[in-house]
Amino acid sequence: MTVLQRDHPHRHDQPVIELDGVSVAYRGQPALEDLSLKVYCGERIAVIGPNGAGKTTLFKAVLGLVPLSSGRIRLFGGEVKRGCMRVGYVPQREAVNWDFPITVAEVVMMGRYGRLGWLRQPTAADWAAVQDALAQVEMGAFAGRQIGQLSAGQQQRVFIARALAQEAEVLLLDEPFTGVDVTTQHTLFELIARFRRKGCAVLVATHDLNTVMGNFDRVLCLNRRAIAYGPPDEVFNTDVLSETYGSQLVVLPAELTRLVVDDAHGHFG
Amino acid sequence: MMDWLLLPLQQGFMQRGLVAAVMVAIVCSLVGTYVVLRGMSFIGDAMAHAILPGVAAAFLSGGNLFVGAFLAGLFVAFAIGLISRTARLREDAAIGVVFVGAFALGVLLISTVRGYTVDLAHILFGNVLGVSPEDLAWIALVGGVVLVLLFAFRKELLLLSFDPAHGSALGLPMDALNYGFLVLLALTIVIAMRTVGNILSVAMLITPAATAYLLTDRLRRMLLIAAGVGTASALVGLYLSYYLNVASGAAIVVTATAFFLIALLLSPRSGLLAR
Repeated sequence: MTVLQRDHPHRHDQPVIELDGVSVAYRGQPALEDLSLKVYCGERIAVIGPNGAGKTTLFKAVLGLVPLSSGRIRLFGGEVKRGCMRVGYVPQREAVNWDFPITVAEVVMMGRYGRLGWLRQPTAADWAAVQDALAQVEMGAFAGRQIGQLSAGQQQRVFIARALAQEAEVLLLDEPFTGVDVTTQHTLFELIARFRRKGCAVLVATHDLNTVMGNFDRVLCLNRRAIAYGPPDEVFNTDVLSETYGSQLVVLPAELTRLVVDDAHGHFG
Repeated sequence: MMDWLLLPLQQGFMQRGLVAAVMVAIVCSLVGTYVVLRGMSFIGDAMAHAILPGVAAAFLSGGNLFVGAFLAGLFVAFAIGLISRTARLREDAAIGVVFVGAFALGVLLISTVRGYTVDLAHILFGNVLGVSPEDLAWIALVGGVVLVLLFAFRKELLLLSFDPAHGSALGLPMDALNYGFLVLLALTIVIAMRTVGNILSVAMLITPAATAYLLTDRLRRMLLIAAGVGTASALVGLYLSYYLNVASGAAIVVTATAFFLIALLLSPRSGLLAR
């Protein structure tokens, strides 16, 4: 398709993720509408939008966890199916039971489960892969800790290590910056950049518009449907943002890089 | 003191009762650990009540109570899964409907027998001192199967309990695993019914596991502590029942609850006195 070539003049390879007119509905309520999207190798994508915009639903659709009401998704050029070990997912903090009696190493080992097969227990090589993944996120010293004893940033790093142990090529991070300080944010961006060099593409759902500039190659503005998709400096303007966020957003016109979100749900409180 | 401990063991019914209660306590505590971690206590309760019609039908037709209970448990497991998936009801409402309805059906069936109160009491509250050698064999067989499956699938159970979405994303059949676990739960309740009874079996599932949860943050230790608390409750409860001449199932459950309260007070991390 020639349009595609014009869109991505430097890319002749296949997209790693391709959504074509994807809609998802929960009990008749639309969560995603007619979303089309191509993600290429080497890209860091920010997915922004208000609560309920469909960010998590988009990730679940890519993972094959929710049925599509229309459209289709292709991963690495093939049909999406469950069991794509090439996609790693870091869930939202609220989706994890942090009181669960499980250690850091055991969480990371879950990345290997797809390879282990039924009734097989992890071998020494699997534990070595887990230690290696933890070392890459500088969490090697915490292997034996219960996960609830870690800081929010450390918890994110553990789940990134799980994706590394999984040998995932695409990483989906759902609200990784919630509850982490600026230093930790910086560390996470370094990890994301490193993952991209090692793997392929990274998608990050985020509320925090301040971090998008400079840290991402493209941004998807989502509010059930795609409002805009492109490089941050091209996409970010008052019209797009107010359409994405509705009345929740206050843009300080002086500097587009400083955006303040007035979140009705008190996410930033 | 030794006489005090050994005297009850001279009687066959007490020996069988102790062996049955300990076996059931261990199986319940281990399965219950996963029930507690998955937040499924209500489902366990529902299942325990809802197998009553199966037991009643077996009882009336002279069939095997274990088989009747298990078939009913299977039906309930799939009914809960199906209703919560298809209907517009939240899962807890679906469970509420299924379990009370099935329980009422069971009571209704048993009430067709004259003088049914004794039978009903044995089914609801257990009759561990009336365990026959044949019952004991059934408990050992079913309990053994459950333990083997728990051990063989420990990796999958951990994944199901902690992060089923990750499991699904990896392509593992988490729905099937969930149903499999419900079947294990049904089997566990079926053998628990024979000792502490239908209604109190939930306590044997939840209380030792909840006690262990207060005391450790490692899964392996939680399983061991739960099994220990369950076993101790069974032994202490049965001796109390023997010497105080009180209902055995209730004595076991009250003992387990006492252990829970002690843990709640003294737990180093979450105990009320530690704060």
